Formats: sequence, C-alpha cells, structure tokens
Amino acid sequence: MAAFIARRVLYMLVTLFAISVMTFIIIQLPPGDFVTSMVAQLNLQGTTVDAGAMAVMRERYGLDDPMYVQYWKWMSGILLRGDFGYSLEWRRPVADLLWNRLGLTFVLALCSLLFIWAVSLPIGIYTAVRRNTVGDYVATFFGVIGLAIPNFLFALVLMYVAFRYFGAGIGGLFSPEYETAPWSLGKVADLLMHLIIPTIVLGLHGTAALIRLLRANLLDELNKPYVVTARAYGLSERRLLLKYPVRIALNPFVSTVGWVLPTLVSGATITAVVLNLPMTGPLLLQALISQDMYLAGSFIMMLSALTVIGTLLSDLLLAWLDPRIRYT
Amino acid sequence: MDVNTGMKLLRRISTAAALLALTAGTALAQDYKEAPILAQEVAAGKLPPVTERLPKEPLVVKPFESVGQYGGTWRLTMASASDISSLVRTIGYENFTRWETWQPGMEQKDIVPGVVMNVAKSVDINTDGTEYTFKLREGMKWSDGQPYTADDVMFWYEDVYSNTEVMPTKPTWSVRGGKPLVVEKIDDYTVKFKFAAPNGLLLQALATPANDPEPNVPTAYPKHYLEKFHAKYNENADAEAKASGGQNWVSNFNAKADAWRNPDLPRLNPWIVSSGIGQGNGSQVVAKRNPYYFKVDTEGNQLPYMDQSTIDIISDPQVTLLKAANGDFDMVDSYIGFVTTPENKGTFFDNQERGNYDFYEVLPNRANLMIVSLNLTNKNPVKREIFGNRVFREALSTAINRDEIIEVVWLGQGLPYQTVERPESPLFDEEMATQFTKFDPVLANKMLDEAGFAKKDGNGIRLGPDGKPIQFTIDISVLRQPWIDTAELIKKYWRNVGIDLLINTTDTTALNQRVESNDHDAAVWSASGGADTLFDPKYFLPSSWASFYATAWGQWYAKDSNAEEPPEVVKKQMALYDELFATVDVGKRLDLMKQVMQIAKEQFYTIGIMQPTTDYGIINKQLRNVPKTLLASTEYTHPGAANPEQFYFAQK
Repeated sequence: MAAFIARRVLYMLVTLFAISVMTFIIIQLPPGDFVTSMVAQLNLQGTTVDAGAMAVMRERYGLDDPMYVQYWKWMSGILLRGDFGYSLEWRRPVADLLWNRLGLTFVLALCSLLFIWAVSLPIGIYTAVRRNTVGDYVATFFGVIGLAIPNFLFALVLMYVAFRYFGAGIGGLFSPEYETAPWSLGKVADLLMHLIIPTIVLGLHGTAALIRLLRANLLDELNKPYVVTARAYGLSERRLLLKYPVRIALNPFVSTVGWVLPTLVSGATITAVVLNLPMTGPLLLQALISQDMYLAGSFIMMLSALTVIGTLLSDLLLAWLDPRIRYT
Repeated sequence: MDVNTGMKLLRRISTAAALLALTAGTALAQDYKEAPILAQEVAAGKLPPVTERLPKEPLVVKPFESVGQYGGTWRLTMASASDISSLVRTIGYENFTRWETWQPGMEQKDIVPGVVMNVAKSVDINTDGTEYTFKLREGMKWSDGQPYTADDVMFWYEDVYSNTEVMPTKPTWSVRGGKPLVVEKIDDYTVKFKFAAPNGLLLQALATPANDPEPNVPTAYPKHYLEKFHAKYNENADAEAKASGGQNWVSNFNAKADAWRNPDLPRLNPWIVSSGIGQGNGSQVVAKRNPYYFKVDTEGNQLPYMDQSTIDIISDPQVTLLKAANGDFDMVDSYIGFVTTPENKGTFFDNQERGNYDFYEVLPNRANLMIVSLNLTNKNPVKREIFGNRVFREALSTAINRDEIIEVVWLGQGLPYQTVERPESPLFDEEMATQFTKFDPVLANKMLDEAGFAKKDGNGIRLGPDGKPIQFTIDISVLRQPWIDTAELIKKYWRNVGIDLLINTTDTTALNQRVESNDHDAAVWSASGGADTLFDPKYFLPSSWASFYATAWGQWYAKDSNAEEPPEVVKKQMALYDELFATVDVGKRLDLMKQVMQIAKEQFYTIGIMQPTTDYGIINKQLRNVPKTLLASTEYTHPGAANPEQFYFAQK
C-alpha cells in the first residue's frame, strides 16, 4: 500500500510540473500582456497612454524578461518561499486574494455537495426501486430538465424571479449592512439566507446527474442473483436494499469525490459571476481576461494540485469501499 | 431592515449623540460645526475640536441648493479592481485646482469649463505664463492630523516627480520647452512652479482627475508617512520592502502611496478608504469621513455631509443593472456603474417606484459613439492611395444611411453627426457636424465615378488603381455590440455603391496591437469631446497611435516607434495645437483650437456615424444638492466637479 501511494505521489509531481509549464505558456499565448490589456481599458475611457509609460510599466512588472526567466521567478517563489507571486491588477499578493475568498467558496461548495447528496440519494433509490411508476416518471422528468438547463441561465431566472416578485436583495453573499460588519448571529443568518439560491443553482446539475447515475446502477444490481439470495434468506426489504445493491451503486459517488476538490476552488465560475458571489471563480476569470498572469497561473496550479490530490483520495476511498478494486 | 429605515435610525442616533455632546458642555462657543459622529469622538477626547482640525481659512463651498444634514452612506459601484477612475471621480477628487460646476446656460469663454482654486488657496501667474506661485492653506491637515505644507509639495517634487526610479516618465503637462518643471519652496505655505516655456493650461491640467494608481500630483504624497519607505530617507527601505514581501523599495513605496489599496495612507479627500480594493472578501471598498477635511459650507458646517461611502466591485453589468434597478445604489449613470444605456432605460422606468430613484440628465462629452477610421498611413501603397483620396471617403460617408442606423441600432438616441464637438461647446461647428451626412447613394456613386473608381468587375465591385476590386477589412472590438450591428449595415450600404467591406471582430487588446503596428486597413472606436479633446485630441489631429485613421503620423507626433512624417498641413495643425498650451490668453487659445478644428474639418480624417443626444442617470430620491444636469467626461471630473462633499440625504 505504501509503495502504491509513493508511486502515485511521484506521478503527481511530474504531472504538476508539466501542468505548470503548460499553464504558463498558455496564459501568455494571447496577443499582448497585462500592460496592453490595461492600456486598452484606459483607451476605452478616453485616456491614451504613451509608449514611454507603457515601456516603463513593462519593465516594472518584469514583462520584458524572456519567458523562462519569468517562469523561474514564479516557480522559485512558490517552491522556495511559498510565495505565489503578485497580482498585477489587484496589486496584492496572490495568496492574500485567494485566502480571502477561499473560506466562503468552501462553505458554498460544501453546502451544495450536501444538498446534492441529500436530494439525489433518496430520489435515486426510490426511482430505481419503484421503476416505471408515476413517481419515477416525475422524478425523471425533473432530473432531465435539471441536466439540460445551464446553471447560469437558471441563476438568471431565479434572480429575476426574486427581484420581480419578492424584492429580495440579489447577488452577493451578504446584505449591504453586513458586508463589512464583524461576524455575529445576524450575519450568519444573513449569509444562510443568501446561500439558498446559489446552493440550489450550483447543486441542480449535480443532483440531476447523480439521480440518473444511481438509478441506472441500482437497476443493474437489483436483478442480480445475490439480491435474490438475500431475499430468499428472508432479509427485510430495506436492510437488503441498503446493505448490498446500494453500496455497490454508490461507486460513482465516491469516484467523483476527486472532482469535488477542484470545484471547491474554481466554483462554478459563470454562475458565481452572474450571482456576484465573492468566490474564487470570478477572480480567475477576470485574471485571465486582464492577463494578470501570476494570479491566473497560481490559481490554475492550485486547481491542478487539488485535482491530482482529489483523484488520489478518491482512488484510496474506492479501494476501501469496494474490495473488488483492491485485488485488481 | 431596508436601507432607508437604517438611515433613519442612524440619523436618530446621531441627533441624540449631538444633543449629548451639547449638554456635556464640550461644544464651546465656536464658529464651525461638525458631524455628530465626530462630535462624539471629540467628547471622548479622541479628536481635537473642529476649529483646531480646520485650516485657518477653510474653503467655503456654497451648497448647490441648500445647507445639508449630516449622515448617511453614499452607495456606489465600480466595474473592476483596475477601475480606479470611478473612485477618483467620486470620493477622491482633491487637487490644487478643480473644475467649476458647469451648468447649462453658463457662458464659456475658454475651450473648457472654468477652473477654481481648491487645495491651493490662490495662485499668482506671471505675464508670460512661465511662473505659477501657489499659496497653500495655513493649518491645513492630512487625514491623520499632521499638517499639509510646502514640505509635502517639495517631497512630491524632489523625491517622487524628479526621482526617475519612482516616476520614470514626466507627465505631459509638466514638460515645457523640452524641460521638466522646477518647483521652489518660498515659505511653509508658498510654492513656485517654474517652466522653461509658457504653460497656458497648467491650472486646467491640475484640475483633471489623477486616474493613475500612481497619481504623481502634489496633493497625494504625505512626507511624514511615506519618507520611511523611500530609499533617500531610510537606507534600509529596500531590505524592509523585501522582508515584507515586496519586490524592491520602489514598488513598495508606490504600493504604500496607493490611496485605494492602502488604508493607512493619510489623504486630503473628503472620505478616506478604510477597506481598500482587494481587502476583506474583495467585493467592496469602504471610505469613511475625513475628520480633518478642509472645507465648510456657508453656515460653517464642516464637510462632507455624508458619513461614509461604499463602492461595490461588480464585474457583471447584468448584476449592476438589477441592483441599480432595485435601488441598491444612490447614483448610477454612464460614468458611474456604466449601465444606463439606451436599451436599459425601459428597465429603469419600470422599477422607478420600488427602486426609489429619480432620473437626471448627463451631458456626456462623447463627440461620437462610432467612428469609422480608414487608415491613411496604410502600409499597402494601393490602399493608401485609395483611402488618401478625400472624395473617396466623402462618398463612403454619403453612402451611409445614418438615420436608419440610429433608429435600428441606437433606438433613436443620437444625431447623425460627423466627428465633431458637442453643441454645448464653443468649438461646435454645424457645417462640420453635418457635412456628407445626407444619405444619397446616387450622389455617392457619382462621386466615386468621378474620383477615378468608375470601372467595375463582374460582381459590380469598383476597381482600384491596381485594377483589382476594392476590398478591405474593418477591425471592430467585440466590446460594444452596436459597433458590430452598425458595421453589418454599413457593409450593405457600401456594397450598394460598389465597395466590398469585410468585418473582422476582435478582442480589444488584439485590435490595439494591430493598430499600434499599423497593420489595419480600417477600425472602429468612439471619441470623447470637451476637456478630453483638449488634452487628448486624437480624433481631430493625429496625436498618438490611438488616432486610428493615421497611426504612423500620430506616432511621429508622439515620438513613438514606426513614426512617419505627416504632410505639411497636418504638421501645421500639430504646431497650432502645441502653441495652444503655450498660450495664456483665453480668447487666443480658443481661436487656436478653432483653427485646429478647421483643419480637421477640411481634412475629413474620419467618418463619424452618430453623436449621442444626452445620457441619463438614476439618483436616490433622498439625495440632495445634485444638479439636475451634469456635464461628464474623462478629464472633466464627473461627478467630482459638482462637489460630492456637499451632497446630502434629506430626511423623508
């Protein structure tokens, strides 16, 4: 087991190195750099920046250095000092920006994960066991719709409804009066109220997908001989169901845990932009648009690291859950 | 709790506090009055009394309508972390001078609205305009209570402006006769600015907002706070900067001097940032009242009236729109929040009741919202010859049905004008505005025939001097959908007169790069007018690469790369423009600018499509002392010129 983990960790390091090089190259591929994109924005407002000032800014930000020098500066900072670099647009250390937003991102991601599991588990089991009943058809209908609607569109519709009919504060995670207030019971309650819409929106797609998956897997298992045997031994229907076929049908829940970690950080970017949530996704998007390369690069590195770690974790979990995998 | 009841409560609390302060006997006989929350702090011994905080001669601001009441939060929005201009124009506009509040019907003798004294109390100018002696206000203080004196101005001049490490380039306004500005300290409250050649528009240049994160103006660098980060005063500055995670002392110094990100920096502004860009969860900037602010109203109440300001950073315009329609912001227009577009007007009308806002008029300094520039300095000699033919451009302009475009694309919110100053401006020229704007395809065809493009190929496309069909590409940024929609219509109009247009939509950065390297045939952008024209006249004369119709000439003027010497008439125009800045006489200056415009009119550099009529804004019904009509532009500070420190919330 230890050897297995060690080997996997080694692969992970190689993968991460490759990702870091690719990331750095891809971010720099579009024409221009941070300075040109900033100048473009100023030009839009009617201010022209002269060439001298642009050259000075490039020199100051080190954008004139060859790409490998820039890469080394960035990487050595991360490896030697744990310094993720400096955001050119926000003019703050990247780490500050990330940590400020990670807390709420985690809360929201956790809420939607719990929401997905709480809703899809019972419905998935129900639709498999009561196959082709009215309940199954209704659940399937909404499940398919849930799969089909893009998250951001659903968010827009919910926001419009909230705005039009309830006059509710829209967007953000706090009401204006709590935005900068210290933590209190009132602020927590306010946060929970604001979390409802994002949780539903972010969880919708996952819920629908998992219901379908669980139903399909469970249907495969329900007719297998071991179920019949168990039934013949006189196990109660509930115990029988939960103890054997559901446990096997749970595999997809576990194998997708690995993908949960990166979504914890990247959030659902477009949805977060639409709902104006102070999550990490919109920060990454803006960083890519303005070619704020250290922010974007460090971001993608963190995402990749989390994905790789998540995959390892889910492999280990899966082996623990399903003995068949351990022996192959 | 909605915002209004919150405000009421806040006001009730503050009135109670004021009463308390009075009965406690701390309010001595004094001429000046202060905000209740400051009175509390004075009573608690945390602040000196208001008379000691104000300069000996505070600046008296005449309220626009009435003397106001203290309290409330000014809720605004900005578009991104780089959108510093939104902060400067609203809560951070304190320079030596400032623009006066322009109102319709005011007589305007100069090219731009008038300028009044601000941080500087007065100025003496010598006759040829080479020496400006500014008097500062005795007893004026930074927001931490330390005095603001000539030493701070000298610190800016010697250690920021003149230090090539901190500020490697000199702003245009400060260089005259090829030499940078010289500043001398006369006494603690007097400084003299000396130039090698006359500087006619110094006071106007100083009144423009410092939109750069490194402002480089004499009112932004508190010596007592910043000197410890400067290598000249602290030999360990570099080591300390690196120890705290900075790259070197210069970037650390600039970061410490950044008023929008460093809450510790003392400033002169009415509200001082307490939570900067990127702090907290990064979604809001908060600024609280400056207890040492140097202005009072006509009854001696220390300004500002409003206690604080919050500025939400929202990157998605749809979110800004919904929040604005919900009444979540106190002031939104085409310069603050950027969502009051013609197509959103319906949404704002429908929600006026619940959002509790009124409309006001914004006269945007937008000379033209869509300008088609054919590159007169094209690298391809054939295209250069075709575009350089003025009749060709005039014919193409005549072939465009502007009325249809304005109706279909801009919902009727514009006038079919060429690139021209706005009717409010003394530089407006009706003939220049309307030349070649009358839609007449027959005439356009005739003009093209006579200009030497009579021959056509089998598809009905006219042939150029090289015998090939005339076809060129127009580069359009995807930034504004109306540009792309209009281009589709123009493609149709021009096809009707035998010219083949290809449309290339592109990212703004890519577009700018193409233009900078002079690789474009044609491109689209918009132009500002008024004060913006004065300081950045790129659409009336080729002054930089951003003059899309003559990039290489613009680069020649700006001494940039790929420069190409322009023809005599253009050089004459440039000389006239230069002369303008050396001219102190207002009437002569206006006359010079009119000559510049006359040449622009004759040269017919660009094809303008439409000048927007007026923009609109929405404003909290409770907000007072805001003019019903406001002038706006990048350089004419909006809404700063209307003195936001005297805006206030009326009680219901």
